[in-house]
Formats: sequence, structure tokens, C-alpha cells
Amino acid sequence: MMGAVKTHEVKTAVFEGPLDLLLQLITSHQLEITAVSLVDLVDEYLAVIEEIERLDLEVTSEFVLIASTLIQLKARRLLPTSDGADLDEELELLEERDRLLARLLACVTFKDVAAVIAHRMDRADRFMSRSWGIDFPLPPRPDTLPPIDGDRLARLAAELFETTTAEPDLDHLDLDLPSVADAMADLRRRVTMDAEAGFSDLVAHTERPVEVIAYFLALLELARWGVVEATQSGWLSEIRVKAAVVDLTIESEWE
Amino acid sequence: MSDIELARVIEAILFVAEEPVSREQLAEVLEIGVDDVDRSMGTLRASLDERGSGLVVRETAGGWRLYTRPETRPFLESFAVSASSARLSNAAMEVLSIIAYQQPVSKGQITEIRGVDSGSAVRTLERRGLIQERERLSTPGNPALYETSRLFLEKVGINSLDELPPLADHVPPSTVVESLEESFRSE
Repeated sequence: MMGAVKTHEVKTAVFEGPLDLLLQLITSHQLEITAVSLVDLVDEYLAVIEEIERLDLEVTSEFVLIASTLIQLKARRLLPTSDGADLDEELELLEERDRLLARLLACVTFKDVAAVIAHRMDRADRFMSRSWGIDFPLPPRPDTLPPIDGDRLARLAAELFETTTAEPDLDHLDLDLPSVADAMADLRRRVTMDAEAGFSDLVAHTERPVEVIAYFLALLELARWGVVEATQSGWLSEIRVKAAVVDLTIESEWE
Repeated sequence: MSDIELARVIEAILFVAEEPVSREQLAEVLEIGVDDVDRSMGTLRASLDERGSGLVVRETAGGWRLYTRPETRPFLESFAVSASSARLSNAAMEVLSIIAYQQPVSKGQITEIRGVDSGSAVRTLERRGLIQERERLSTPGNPALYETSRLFLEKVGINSLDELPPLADHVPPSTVVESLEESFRSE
């Protein structure tokens, strides 16, 4: 008994959980005696729990649960023929006992196979593989850079900074664009009235070049429709415009 | 392509692959039959051996992958810190074994078998990529069910879970079971 107490004093910090503790207590006995005495086992188990409490460590409910099963088993062993024992309680205890046994066996089994798998992993671990594949972002190829020296690079940078830092200037843009459709309507009205007119007369009232362009586009469109006839005798000479014979009413694509 | 040319392409593919490449994948990429893949793989392995290459082809997790030759391992550890991997604790190994054989399995079921809370071991294994969540149960708390990953197969050096050692071989010998039962059962 004293020897046994010594055993678990040594092992207190080593076991992991109540099943592990039970297994260690059982195997420590198997080295010495053939059959494990349940009574001794329970005493030792409870002694370890007391030790844990003395060390102010947490005694989990799992420890307590297994302890209660062990105590009941021990009590039953010490009082083999208890008259009028509750049959339900009796069966419950046997069930609990078998469950504990099964858990112990499962625990031993997995501990054993875990050692084998650990060994295999150690062996496989001697082989190493690359952990990154081909699909990481590639840096730009160095040979796509043109030959360049420091001075040229500085000049390019200066140019770039100048153009990109300046606010875009919109003053040269005249966004008040004249309507080609309006110009077409005006032309149709006036060309019908005048027998023949010069293009410069037709745009004489305009103030901006862009309006002349609108009238020119309108003229081309009307000529295409066959509403007006436009003739030009030579390069840069006056365009003569007159109304065509047939007046078609086609919707303009400029509208 | 000739056998040697195919072996060369396979070597290049395995060099850039991030995980084991299956026979079928290689057949598809190379537009050849699986038998041809096998033959060229044999050629590649033989040529690596013949020239005493620092690399070997291993078949794990249902595919092939290039690995460093085991003899070079000590030098790789001196070369790079990442080459020395921390071993898993006994507790983590037990949890890993339970998941390997009982998958899919919840934390609660693992704790039931081990008799001790296994949450931190599960987290360690998940972080190492050896296990993964398969699904969540609809029972209260939505516990996760875990399974082993493809990396697990690779790390153990097997092609499929069927190649795990049979659990029956690790049930304690009958003498132990009997003496246990006797001490608990004797009326």
C-alpha cells in the first residue's frame, strides 16, 4: 500500500485526465501482480484526486464521475450480498461499469495506434516538399525595360510629374455646341426661298467657326437626302446651294 | 513525345506543383493514357536514382510529389529554420488518431473517448491543416464534425484512409482485457 502511494505521487503531474490516470494505475500494477485489485485501484485513484485538490488544481467533473462509479463498484465488492438491493440501481451500476471498461479499452487502443501514426509521420517528415507553387505574382521581366541612364530617367520623371500634377485646362473647350438639326431646319427654309445661294452667304450670320461647321454638316446631310443640290467649281471656291426638285421628308439622324 | 521527353515534362510539373498530382491529372495535361503516365513516372524515378538526385518522387495522398531525399534532411535544417517542424504532443496525436478512425467526429465525442477536454488539441491540428471541419450538426450549439485532410494523408505517407493500420491490431491483447474485466467484474 505504501509503495502504491509512492507511485502516484510520482505520476500526479504526468497523466492526462481520469482515464489516463486509471490506465496508469492499472499498468503500474500489472508489472507487479497478475490481477489488479479493484479495491486497491479505487483507493489509489481517490488518493490521487485528494492530492490534486491539495495542490489546488482543478478536479474536473469527469474525475468525480469516474470516482463515483469506482466507489460504488468497490462498495458492492465489499458487500457482495446486499439483501433487497434495488434491481434498477444494480443494473445501472453494471451498465456504468461496462461503459467505463469500454472507455478504458478505447483509450488504450487509440493511445497505441497514435504511437504508430506518430512514428509514420516522423518517417514521412524526413521528406520535404516545396510549399509554394507556380501561381504567385511574378515580378515584371527585367528585359522589358529599354536601355536608360540616370539623366534620361530624371528627365522623364520631371516631364511626367509636370504633366500629371497640372490641373487639366478646359478653357479651350467650347462646350456650347451648335445644333446640326437646327442648322438643317434653317437651311431647308432659306434654300427653298432663295433660288441659289453661296454657302458663305448662308453662314454670314454665324459668329463662331463651330457654327459654320454645323451648317456645313447640315448641308452635307441635306445634299445626301437630295433636298438640296450643292456644287463647287474648284478647290476652295464658293459652294453654290439651291433647292432640289423633290422634297423628301425623312427624319434626320442628327435629331 | 518520347518516354524520356514525357518524364522531363512530368518532372517539371511536379517541381511547380503545390500538392501531390494524380495520375489522371497528368494524363489529362499530357494528353496520354494513364499507362503511359505510369511508364514515364518509372523512367523519371529511375533517372533521379541513377544520377543520385537530391530529389525523389513519392506517391502519397493519391498523387505524386517531388520531395527532398531523406539523407539531405539534416542539412536542410541547418539551411532553413522552417525545415525543422515541431512534433505534435502525445495528446494531439491521440486526438488525431481518434479523428482519423472515427471521422466525422465532434469535439464532444473525442472528449468522451479520452476522458479529458480536447479543444486545444483540435485547434492545434486544425491550424496545422491536418484536420478540417466537414459539417456542423443541427443539435444545440451546432458542434462541428471534424475529418482528416489530404495533408494528413501526405504527412502520414499513405494514399487513402484505407491504408491506415487496422484499429483491431491495436486493441489491447486479450490478457490485458481479461485481467481488466476480471478486476472490474468479479462478483
